[in-house]
Amino acid sequence: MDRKKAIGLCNCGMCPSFVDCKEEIAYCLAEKGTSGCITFEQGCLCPGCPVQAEENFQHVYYCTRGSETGQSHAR
Amino acid sequence: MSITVPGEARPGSPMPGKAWKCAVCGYISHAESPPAECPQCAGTVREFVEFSEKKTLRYDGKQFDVLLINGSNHRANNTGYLADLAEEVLREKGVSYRRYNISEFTINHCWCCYSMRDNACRYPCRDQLDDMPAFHEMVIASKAIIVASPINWNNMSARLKDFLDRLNCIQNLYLLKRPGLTEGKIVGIAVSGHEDGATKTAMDIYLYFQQMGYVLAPFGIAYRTHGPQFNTITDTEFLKNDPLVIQKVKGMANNVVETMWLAGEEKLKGKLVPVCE
Repeated sequence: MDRKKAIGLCNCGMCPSFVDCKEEIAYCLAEKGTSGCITFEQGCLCPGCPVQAEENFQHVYYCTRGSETGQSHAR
Repeated sequence: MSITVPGEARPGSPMPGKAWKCAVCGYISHAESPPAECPQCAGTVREFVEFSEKKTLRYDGKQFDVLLINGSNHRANNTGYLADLAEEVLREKGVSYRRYNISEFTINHCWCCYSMRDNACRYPCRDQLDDMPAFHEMVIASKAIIVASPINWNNMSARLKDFLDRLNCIQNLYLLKRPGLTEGKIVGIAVSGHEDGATKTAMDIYLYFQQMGYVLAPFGIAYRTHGPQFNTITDTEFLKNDPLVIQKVKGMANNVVETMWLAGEEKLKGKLVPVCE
């Protein structure tokens, strides 16, 4: 899924950890890095996100821990 | 008059000096050393841990062989002793393991998302608010699991049931026809109790793992009860001095490791047909 489509579908904006600083969301698909403004993990809506379901992703807290690819490589 | 309800923060600043928290009920004792008995729940001194700010459990991603779970409300009583015995075997046999007394962790009740919609429950779990996501990762990372439980009203402890209920997101992968993460892993079970209900408790625990494709190690269930003619005060001394307890629990742990060394998980991967509900 391309990131533009994911941004339209994703749950980031409703998440208790989300801080809106006008950066691009759908952190699961980000090429590298994490959010520049979200620093506290206060809950995660990724497990219920349609992007997660469609892509069969296995991780959580992409905004603070890195994208699916990044977290997969870290293990 | 103001009333402070349980769980609500009390006014005032934290007291200086050492503090000890009862892992069973959360009572906090401000003293140089913990009390001999918890004034709130009667837990022994062994239940107290030095109080520190609660941090959510995170899995570090390192591989290990056996996950050892003490499912009791008490971290260091009879069931804790059974876990100690299993731990001795794991050390002696040189396998890597991690032991957790679940009374020291926060595990929420399962939200049962699957009962809203089948595909609403899958790994990773939707509840990322407690310590369970780290346990999910460790269940998946380990090759075998040993679970120890007390008998509470003819059943496992409620804490352990919460822990096992929360494995639903892993089990549900099989129903959703997604790649499974646990088939072929090994399970062993130890149960301690005062009177009856040991085999029922063990089988209740096993059913969870059976539904996730685990293989029960041969002679993989060890249990011991004392007897209704005794009282719970004497159970601990009895269990600690009973050679049968040592033989059975250590035997079970040995059998888990030996079965794990057959590397069945790798051989069975992709060859099993999930038969579960």
